[in-house]
Amino acid sequence: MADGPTLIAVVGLLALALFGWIALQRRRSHNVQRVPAGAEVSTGRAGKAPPSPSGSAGPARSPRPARTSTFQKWLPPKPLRFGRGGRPDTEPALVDPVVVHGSWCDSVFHATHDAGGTRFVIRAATVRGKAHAYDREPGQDAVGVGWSAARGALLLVAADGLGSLRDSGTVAQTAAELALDHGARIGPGDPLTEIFRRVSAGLYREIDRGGLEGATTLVLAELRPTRDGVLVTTCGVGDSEAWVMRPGKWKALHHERVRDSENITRHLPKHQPTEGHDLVVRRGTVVIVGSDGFAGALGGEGSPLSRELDKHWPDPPSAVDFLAQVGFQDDYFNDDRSAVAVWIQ
Amino acid sequence: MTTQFDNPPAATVRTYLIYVVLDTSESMRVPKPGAKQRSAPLDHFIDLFPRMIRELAANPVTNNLAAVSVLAFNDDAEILRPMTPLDRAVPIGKPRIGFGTDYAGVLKFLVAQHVKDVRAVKQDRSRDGYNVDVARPWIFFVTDGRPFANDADQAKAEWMQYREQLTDPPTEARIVAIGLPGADEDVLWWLATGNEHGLRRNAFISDQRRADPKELSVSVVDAIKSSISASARTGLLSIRTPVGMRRIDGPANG
Repeated sequence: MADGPTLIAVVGLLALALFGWIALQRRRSHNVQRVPAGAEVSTGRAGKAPPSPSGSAGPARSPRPARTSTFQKWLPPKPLRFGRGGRPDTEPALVDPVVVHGSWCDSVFHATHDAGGTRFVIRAATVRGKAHAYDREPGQDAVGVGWSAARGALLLVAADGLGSLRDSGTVAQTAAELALDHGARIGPGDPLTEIFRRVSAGLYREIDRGGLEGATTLVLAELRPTRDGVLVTTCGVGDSEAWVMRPGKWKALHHERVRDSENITRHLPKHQPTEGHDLVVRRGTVVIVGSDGFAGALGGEGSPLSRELDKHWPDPPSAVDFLAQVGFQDDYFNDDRSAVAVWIQ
Repeated sequence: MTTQFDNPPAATVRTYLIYVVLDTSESMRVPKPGAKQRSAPLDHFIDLFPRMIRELAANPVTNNLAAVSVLAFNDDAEILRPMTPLDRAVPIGKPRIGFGTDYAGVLKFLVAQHVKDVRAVKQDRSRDGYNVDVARPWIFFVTDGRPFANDADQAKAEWMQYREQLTDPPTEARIVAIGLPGADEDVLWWLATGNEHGLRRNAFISDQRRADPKELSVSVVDAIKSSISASARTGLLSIRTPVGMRRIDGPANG
């Protein structure tokens, strides 16, 4: 038996060791990059924020809203796991056409579809933009995906309601639903412009019936498996865009970017669609349609968003990762974001 | 058909320049006879605009995308706040005392200053991987509409040539003219720009009792948001009438 002073000494040493171990664990687990307000964080690299050009602290900034970075990389969220968790995640099959819209909440959808020896891995998400959130207004984007058995093709849809009109969110959602509906009905030989003709007619009816004040952009991409690969056909009205991507290489199939686009965004039901480039793509390609809040930040090899996605999109991300990627943070991009992306495997 | 991956369009971030131009001539500084202290037209706007700038800074869209400069003019033009992004706090200087209302001088000054500001803002906003585009500027011109320089009234033709240099390409400035009751409404109307037909112009008379900086900033933010390319049906060339202000219909002596 140890005497009293020895026991106290042993207990004290054990307590010190325990506190030391806890402190070490806290230090290890708090690998937080601390950035002064106003500093910019470089993309894609963990580490120190770059110094200000002058080397000084820089001018004082107003306290609201916080400007903590220009483009923040995302960290993959980790789901809670129970049990042994040995089985890989199950990808559900695409059963019916799906429209994802996020008036008040961020939404994400994932599925797969197999056709003609090709597997399409689908991710679709909408995120309400900072500007609408600040103004207590609903998001106005909608994206969707559906399979047309008659055409043997997958149809991707993105619609972006015009912010200047009150009911544009409803009109965008209706346009996406109509596009998928008519996309499944039109004949195998009909051009995609036929879908736009029918969507415009349907929108005029809905706007008239509901007394709606709204308009929307709309872009479609059709993916049809062929012997040579997957034929991608695009068509659109307005500043929503269609892109194809292989890691490191981006190409816009439909866009309406102009030097001075202050005066007008083309929209439905008023304007006529323009057909984009047709392209045959092979496995390993990703086809994306999205509203300008997301697609406007894509720009080939030099864009920060494109560079990040090059790293994250060689394989389909999980649904929640995809949602986080569509909701990337950048002080210059405050609009609603939406995108549907399909990995061709 | 072949797969080609070339010439993707560059991503562009657009930034917005806002000028507040204050007429600090004698007629703006002196209250009407019998009026109470601090009731001169200039006092009203000196109270209004810093609050409007704070409101703009609180909005996440304008905070991140817009920069504001405050200018004053009487016999000469001077910069009270250099063109600075809204997320940077910069004090607004005190205007010099002067007597004239040199419209031609301040408009000519703005033509030259805008070129310098565009260059500086592009450099400041430059980021790897994005093109920086500067939108058409908004100019809020606060005046009682009595152009006067070198001891004589200034003829319209004398200052309109510089106004047109601002409103014609490549600058294509949008001018909002604001005065208090009693201001020369015709001059305010000629100074302002408006919709493409030129009839509905951004010329307003502000009610000293009812003008609310929050309402004014809401109108300004709406106008800027609508001029952002994202999802707008048309650029809002004619801003909605802020609460506490009345739109001037057109020149009586057109």
